[in-house]
Amino acid sequence: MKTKNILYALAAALTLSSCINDFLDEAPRKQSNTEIKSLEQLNGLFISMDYTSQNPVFLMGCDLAGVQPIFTTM
Amino acid sequence: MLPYKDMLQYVWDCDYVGDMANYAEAWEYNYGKWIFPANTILEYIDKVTGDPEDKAILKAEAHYYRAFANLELMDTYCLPYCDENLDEPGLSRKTSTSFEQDVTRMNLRDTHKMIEDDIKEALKIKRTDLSRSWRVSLPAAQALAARFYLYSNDYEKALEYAEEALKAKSELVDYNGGDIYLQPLETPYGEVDITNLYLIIYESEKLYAWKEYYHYANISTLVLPVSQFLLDKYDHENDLRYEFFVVDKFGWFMGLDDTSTKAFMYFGMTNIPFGPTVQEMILTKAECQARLGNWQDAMETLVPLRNARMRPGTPKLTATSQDDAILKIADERIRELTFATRWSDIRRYNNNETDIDDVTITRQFYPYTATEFTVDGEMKTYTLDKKSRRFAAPLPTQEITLSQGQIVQNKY
Repeated sequence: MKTKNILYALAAALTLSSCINDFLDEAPRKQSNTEIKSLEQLNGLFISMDYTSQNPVFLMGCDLAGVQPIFTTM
Repeated sequence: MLPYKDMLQYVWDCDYVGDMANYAEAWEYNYGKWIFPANTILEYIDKVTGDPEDKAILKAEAHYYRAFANLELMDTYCLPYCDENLDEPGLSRKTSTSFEQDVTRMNLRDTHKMIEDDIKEALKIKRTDLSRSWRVSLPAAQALAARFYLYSNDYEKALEYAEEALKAKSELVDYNGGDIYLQPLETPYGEVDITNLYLIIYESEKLYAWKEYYHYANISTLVLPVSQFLLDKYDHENDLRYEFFVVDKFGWFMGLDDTSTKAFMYFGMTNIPFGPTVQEMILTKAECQARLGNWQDAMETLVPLRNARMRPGTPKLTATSQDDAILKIADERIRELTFATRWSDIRRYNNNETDIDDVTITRQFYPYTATEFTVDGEMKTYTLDKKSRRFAAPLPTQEITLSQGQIVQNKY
């Protein structure tokens, strides 16, 4: 039984690995062949956009940030 | 401990540029979340079916996003825009979704023009409705143009576009009016007063409807501890921005038994308005008026903003000269656009037509190695000089590698 389970696990791992490799091989091609046919699809890109920039250069680099020493000892 | 890579920004590191894939947040966000979708739209807009007017709006909107993102990227990874830096490295011309597009960096002159061209296209947008601030409108494009030209030290154009945006919307949230209020929050280290805006981040219908936005966008990081320099800029008795947004005992949030740490909080813990707002346009208008010589008018321009932020009866902000007005307005930008525009403001102050507003930043902090800060040692002094090349952050190492030599690192 144990051997059978190991074989199942091995098969699953190989299948997953194969899928990942397929995905990595195909990703650039799929990227450029994306089927966009309607305005609604394009409009949907804006609806799903993320509007919060993470930018520690702006926030931590300026003179308004003051990192108290206590923060370094957490 | 705060993330090491965030701390490297704090001391403007460029010693370990080649060793780590730091400084990537702004790059990944702007190219991945804004520029790539914008380029997808611009590539397909003429190929899809749909109403021509709707297509024109979407096209202009995409140009807005690309301009907005490239402006942030330029202010993060390039030296400040000024005559002496025009031939310095700028950004790549990323106008396609193709991974094959040449990503060799342009110079700063061409980068600036690329952004300006996108803004001109964005200004063709026909949508004027501001009720859905998460979508781009003409006033939003005008406000972005005002920001862009102010950052370019072109005060005539910045004034023109700020006034156009303010014609469409000039209403502010009156901090005396009850929309913002303090409420106690129980923590293991005692009660902390925070504003009702702390939880608004989970109420999208209220957040997106916040009426001061021309276009909804925020900027954020892990935590925003404040400097003594910032604390000293507030009238602690009368400025409601200090009362509402500077939070005591902030250590509780980081799991510290600490009651002394102060931090800045707006929406949620660290989300700060970053899209153009009414207050930014008022301050842009006032600054341009002052720099163009109409400094008495500039102080009048600030009156509605100050009335909305200060307790009733607070003396009016006055100036005694043009230079004094410019400096007073710069301080008001710190109090009102806290963190959101300060880095960009310092960059332009240090490279504009006058020295009176120049900023050199000096900090005391621990020395560091390639992997950590040595917190048990003595602190050292870090200085960011007004013309420092560190005003351009190092580009992410991974992007340089992936570009196979097309993208080159900044020189320090």
